[in-house]
Amino acid sequence: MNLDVESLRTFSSLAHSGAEEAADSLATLTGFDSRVAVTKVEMSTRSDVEQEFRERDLVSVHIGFSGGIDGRTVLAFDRDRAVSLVDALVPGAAEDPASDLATSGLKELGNIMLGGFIDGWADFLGERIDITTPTYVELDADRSLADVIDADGADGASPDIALGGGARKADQTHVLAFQNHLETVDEEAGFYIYMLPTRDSVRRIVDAAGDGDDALPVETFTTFSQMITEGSGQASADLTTMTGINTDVDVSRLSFVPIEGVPMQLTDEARQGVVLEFTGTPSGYIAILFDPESAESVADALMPGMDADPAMRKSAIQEIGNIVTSGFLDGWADTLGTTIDISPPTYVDDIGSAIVDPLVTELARTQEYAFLIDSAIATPDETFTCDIYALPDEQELRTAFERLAPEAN
Amino acid sequence: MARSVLVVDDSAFMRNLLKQLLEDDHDVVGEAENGVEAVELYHDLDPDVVTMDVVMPIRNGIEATAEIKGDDPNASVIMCTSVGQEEKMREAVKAGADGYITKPFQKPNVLEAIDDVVGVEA
Repeated sequence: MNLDVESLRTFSSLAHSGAEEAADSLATLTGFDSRVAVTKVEMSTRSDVEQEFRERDLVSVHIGFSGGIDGRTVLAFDRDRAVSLVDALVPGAAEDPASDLATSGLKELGNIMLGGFIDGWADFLGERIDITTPTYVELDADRSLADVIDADGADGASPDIALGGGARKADQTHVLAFQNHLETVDEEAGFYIYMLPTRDSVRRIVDAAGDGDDALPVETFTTFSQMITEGSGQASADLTTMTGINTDVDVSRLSFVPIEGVPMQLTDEARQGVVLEFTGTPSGYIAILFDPESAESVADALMPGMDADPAMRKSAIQEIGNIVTSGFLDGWADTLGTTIDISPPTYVDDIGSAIVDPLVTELARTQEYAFLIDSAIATPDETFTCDIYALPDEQELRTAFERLAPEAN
Repeated sequence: MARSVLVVDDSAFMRNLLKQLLEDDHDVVGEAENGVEAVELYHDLDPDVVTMDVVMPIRNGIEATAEIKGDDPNASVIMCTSVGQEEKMREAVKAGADGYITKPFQKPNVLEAIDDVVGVEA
């Protein structure tokens, strides 16, 4: 099964259309206008998808689909905010957001929105796609997303959504997920739609999108995704050595996203850190960002017992950004048999989206879509978290994929 | 035996850290923020050892090392870098580096690297 950038563009556009159908359904049902904020095609592990749910404290409605393609689709949302919308559908639901009535309304909302989403894919494939009845899911300590996905198949069978990647555990297998973020215009409610097709279905939709001349085995992308995970692991180890505080990789993902959607991947909360340019194969930009409290904790850990002035603290953050970047990228260079040069770090202190805006503007000169690599490193006790965002040049990343392809075969 | 050390790094934090790591065993006789300053200070101070960062603005550490070694083949230069790429290491060796340590490092790594390039005799 080969995948090319043109197919990814097709998927992204298709997922966006499906999400617009879902947004229309939401507006029709509830009277609240909504818009599709971001659509992205994401290569990540099941545990990383689950991490997104847990980080955002999301509950979800799951629907299986089968026919032209098979898999699972998920509508995830903040329950309390979503219930306020459901009140329009099931009057009285908002009076007791925890009630069965409210849950029933949420399931119906999921059913209709996800039905609209799947219809778009059926039209594209020219095939019928059936959906199952919705299941309402709250993840807790005893229930993982992997458990839910494995258990909610319409036919009782565990859907094979894994793309492979030599995973040691089921939740570490790579999946191709289509993620859409819908925002209501006047209400503070947002919805995330995930579509997780089975491996065979990915093959079918890739075939339908057509293999271009530059198509590569899909395993190339999973190999690269593993490389990102390993780079994140090295960055985490370097952070631990520098600060003396144990850290772990929380998330590492490879996404394909319209270039204008990149800033929306970052919140509008304050961030401090560094931005660096890297050149080689691939070239691009990388941002190592901390929330202000985390930046303070890191600077304190780097200079224990010192009454460092602001300039020295800034220098410490720059240096940690430098070292984390090297840890993150060195493995890529060695695996790809190339060199990647890294610029001196530029200190940044702004809201997250504003930090990446200039990088996106630069890349937008030559590309409409971006491969976005994002990782999060955190201490178990949440003393600090460190977010890594890498934006490689699309053309050069494609060259890097080509270098990986023989290994993947 | 205490050696005179020139510390070259664009990061004030890293220069400060290296000074702290070295202060009990060696004498930091100078600090430079980039490759141009490094070459100038090397000629002014004639240190026993230079710890040289690789990625710096104005002039990088590999170019500065090549010039220092070109002027004084007996100079002892330790590359002190966060870049652990194999190809980069080969470049540093080609420029004449006598050793290297990869950031993040601990005090023993730095002292050992200095001993390796200038010897430990009293």
